[in-house]
This record gives sequence, structure tokens and C-alpha cells, in this order.
Amino acid sequence: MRAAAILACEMLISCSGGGSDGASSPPPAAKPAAAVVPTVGIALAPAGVATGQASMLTWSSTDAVSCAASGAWTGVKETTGSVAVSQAGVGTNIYSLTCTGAGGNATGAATLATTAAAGNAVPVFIERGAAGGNSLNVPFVSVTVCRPGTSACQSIERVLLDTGSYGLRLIAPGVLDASLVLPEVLNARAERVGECAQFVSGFTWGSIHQADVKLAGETAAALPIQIIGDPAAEFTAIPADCSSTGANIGTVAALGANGILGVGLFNHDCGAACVTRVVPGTYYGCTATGCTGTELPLASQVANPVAGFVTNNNGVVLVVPPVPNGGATTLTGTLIFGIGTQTNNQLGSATVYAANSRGNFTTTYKGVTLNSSFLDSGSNALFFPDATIPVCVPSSSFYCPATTLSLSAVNSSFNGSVSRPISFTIENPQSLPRSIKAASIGGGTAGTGIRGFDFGLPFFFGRTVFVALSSGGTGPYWAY
Amino acid sequence: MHAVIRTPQFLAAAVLIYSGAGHAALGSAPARFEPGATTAASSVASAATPYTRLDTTLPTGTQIREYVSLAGQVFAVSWEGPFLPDLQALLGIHFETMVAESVRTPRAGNSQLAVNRPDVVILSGGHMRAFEGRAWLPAKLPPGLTPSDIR
Repeated sequence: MRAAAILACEMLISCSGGGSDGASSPPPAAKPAAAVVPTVGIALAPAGVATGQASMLTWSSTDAVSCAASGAWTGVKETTGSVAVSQAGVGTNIYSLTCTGAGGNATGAATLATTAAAGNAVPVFIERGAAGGNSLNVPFVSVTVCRPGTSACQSIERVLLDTGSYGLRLIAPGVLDASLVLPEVLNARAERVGECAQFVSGFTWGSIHQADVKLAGETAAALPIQIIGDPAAEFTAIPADCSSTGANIGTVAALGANGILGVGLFNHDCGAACVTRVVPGTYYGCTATGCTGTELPLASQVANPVAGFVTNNNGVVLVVPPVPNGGATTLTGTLIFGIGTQTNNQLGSATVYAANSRGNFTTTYKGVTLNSSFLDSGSNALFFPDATIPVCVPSSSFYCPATTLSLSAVNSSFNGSVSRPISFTIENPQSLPRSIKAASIGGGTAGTGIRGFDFGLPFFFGRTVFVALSSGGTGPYWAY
Repeated sequence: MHAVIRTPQFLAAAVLIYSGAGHAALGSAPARFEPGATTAASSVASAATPYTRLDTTLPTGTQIREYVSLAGQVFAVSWEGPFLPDLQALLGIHFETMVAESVRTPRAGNSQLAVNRPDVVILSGGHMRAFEGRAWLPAKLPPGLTPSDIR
């Protein structure tokens, strides 16, 4: 994909300062001191995408000392490189590059044709997290929420795309427009419903409301969502058995995002467990005197919007361009709704890894069987146990290898019906410049104990990953 | 259900059903879990220093293991299941250490969490509906017991 081949001069718009075949022609004997004329090659893969979708622009040059971009991109460029590009508008976009050396200059160009976005796809912008900008590999989407059945809507950007959770959560303070007045969800005692959503890095606390959730051309009507940090009086006190599960990550500063869009393998964040009994640290009935744990029917639980779509509702496909060693300064992927329902979401030759009832499959890494493995776009690194890799100081959750590591593992469906090797690299995050937004980094757990390989966002680089809902008939499974 | 304790010197296979007391927090005296939790205790004499392992299944299905010294101090814990347990009760004074680590590194979503200090190691991983973790006090592990034995 990234092979930086020196392209033949047919690809060039102009080759100035020398023969038309550039460097492939030996210099005339009469001009022994003449410098070699530069060449430049530039290509896009693919050459046609929908608006907002990414294409990888790759270029290289010979005998050049500097390059300058023009047309659909601008600025000084390295003499060799690659970058993911996308365009918001429909049309033809010409990416030109002029490289200059002692022997003259050469210009190359590549054309990106953008067509109207599919009704079942939205762009995914991989950025540093909002909080201090320290977190690499954070995939964001924009989500539109509306008061059900009305045109009172708000589009909210920088919502974390998370294949490791289920349901939409939006932060109220400073993000969600209170004038939307989304309807409240009540429990069987007619109490307003509060929720503690559990994540490894902490909990989000808030209320449950209904909204029409819109992504591309899809709508999940009157879907229960979590309003994190709801300022209403009933929700001001966080229940003790919620705060005892971890840190409160329910602010833009702590979360590094305006919300979380959970599009993982399941329809509900709790599911059947919360229907008939009170599960501590999950759902609550809240009144002026406080919150107490509550049972809650599935129809009232925070739900995966994908399952609520009218069409293309059996899963999602996440497509992310490749990222070179050293990382990428820009990266845009695509989230496609449905699997096998449209021309743009066919499973094709992807290998299906069936998941167990918890959503996990098995990874074998360095002889150790990790049977709680999962693919998680909401984790910003590959997390796996390996005592031989030094951890960072002070961020001991991440690996800081002295040199980039090339590693491999074997992934198997939970029932062992299929096994395939995978390879991956681990770079040192502390050696990456601040301009890098995406890179293949890892993290670990002091090399001990954890039984899952958490394939975070770097796993998705250069892959098309299918996330098939348990309700979709053939799921739950991961495929890539 | 419970993992077999693979020690030839398995001393007293006494399996008790605890009635609420007998649960413990890392590094300190007993704490409590929610009503309905069931606990089985096994005395283990595999190492030079014997210890007791408490296996608790919460009504939610989450399983907890506590490793308790003869002096009654918990030196290691683990958890695994669809919901996080009461980590404040389980980790005791070290809960705040975990929270501080999470707060110190703002991150979107649900990455793994690792605290690796001389006094305490805490590992937390998994995802919504499938959590797992373990924690131990390195200085308090009985001779012969390694972190990889904490399952």
C-alpha cells in the first residue's frame, strides 16, 4: 500500500530542466558537471472515495532537496512521504507536488475524485484526545441528536468511537444543548433513571433520556442515551457504589471527548442482568432524596444506536488507512453501518472470529493463551502482557521500547474454529513528536496476569474490521 | 468453577461458606461485599508461608479472589466478570492510588490501567460487560508465591 515506488515520468505533469524521461536518461557526455534533474512521483490509493473518506497520498522524489505542495494541499513537504487525505466536497481534487534540486525541478500530481457520501457511512477523525492533547489514537465521529420526532437537533463533534462499549453517552456541561429538552426515561416506580456506566479507566454518571440519534442517513428513533453530568437536582449526588468502581471520567477534560459512541457487539450496555435485579453500580431510580438501585427493562436501557437503525442495523465496519512507522500527522477513517447489506460493507474475504457471550476471542502471544481478547477502537494502544518490554515512566500503562518492536500473535475464534497469525509493531510513544496523532503504540500490565489482549486502535490501521452484533443473526463476531 | 490449586502440599481442603464476614481489603482487615455473595475458603500450604484463598462469586456473576495471610491481611486480590466489583472495598487504601493513576492520564474511553509501584501493583483491563483485574502488595507475597500465581 505504501510502497514508495519511483514512478515513471508518464505520471508527471512536467519534468523541467532536462530530458522528458528525467533521471532514467544518462546525462549527455558534453555536460559532465550538470546536476541530475529531479523526479517526483505521487499517487493516491484509492483514487476515488466518498466525501469525508480517506485516501492515502504517497509521494517520492529523486535528486531533490525540497518539495512544495499545491492544489488540493499546501505547504512544504518532505522529499518522500505519505499522508491520509480527505475532502468534504464532491468533485475533482488535484494534489500537486513540485520538488526542487540542484538540477532543476519536477512536478507531479495525483487526482482524487470525491463522490457523495454513502447514506450508511460517516468519517472518523483520529486525533489526540482533547484533554491536554496527550492521548494518541483517539477516533472521533460527529453525532446528531434530536428531540424525538422533531427537527430540534444538535450535531456534536468529537464523540469517541468505541467498539468496546454499547450505547451513546454525551456530556451535558458545555456540550449538550439543554434547550433540546430530551424526554426523560423513567423506571417502573416512575422515578427518573440515573446510570453509572463502568469503564476500566473510570465511570460516567448521568441520567437517561431519549433522543433520535442520527448518523449519516441512519436514525435510531427515541433511543435511550446517557446524559453525563446532568445538572438536574436528582443526579447531583453520585451513589457510593458507583464512585467505588473507579475515577469519575464524566467531564470533557477527563474523558478527552464530548461523549462516547459505543458500537460494540451488544445491543445494550447492561442487558438481561439489569432487567430482573438491581446490579450495583449500574442503573438507579432517582428522586429529590437521592438515587437507589433499580431494575430496568431492556427498552429503557442505554442502547447501541446501530441496533436501532431501520436498515444496516446488524453491525458496523471500521476502515482505517495504514499508518507508517513513525506515526501519522493526520488520519481519517470511515465508519460504515451494516454488514453485507450494501455494496460498501461486504464481508468479502475477511476472516470471521466468533466471540463468546462476553464479546471476547482468544489470542496466543509468546506461548500464553489470552482468552479474553477483544478489538477496541476506544483503547488507544495495543494492551497485552509482556514482561520483556520496558514500561514508560511515569505512564506505566504504556510500553517504551528502546527500538521499534516487530511482534506477532495468533488470533482464534473463542471456540477455536479458526486461527490466523497477525503481526504488529510497537513504537516508543515518548519518541514521537507532538505533531503525531496516530502511531502503533502498546501498553501492558507489568507482564503479568491479564488474560485479554486488548487490540486498541493501532490494530485497525490499514484494516477493514467488521463488528457484528449479537442480535444480527450470525454475531457476535469480529472479522477482518 | 474455581481454579484448582496446583500444589502437592495442599494442606487443608476445608471449604467453608462465609456468611458475610471474612472478606477483606488489600493490605488491611476485612471488608464486605453486597448481600448474596457466596465465598469459599481454601487453606493453602504450598509456600513456605501458608495462606488462605477466598473465592467469592457476587450475585452479578463477577468472581473475586482474595489471598489472605495467616495474620488476616489480604496481600493480593483479583476480579473477573461482567461488572466491576466494589473496588474501593477490595483495594482498600490502594483504591485512591488507582483513581489517581486514572486521573493523571486523561484518556478517552476504556484503556487498560496499570499501577506499578514498589508498594502496590494494580492491573485493570477488559471492557464493558467483561472486566478483569488483579492487585498485589509485592512486599507481602509469601515466599514461593509469584504474581503469576494470582489468578
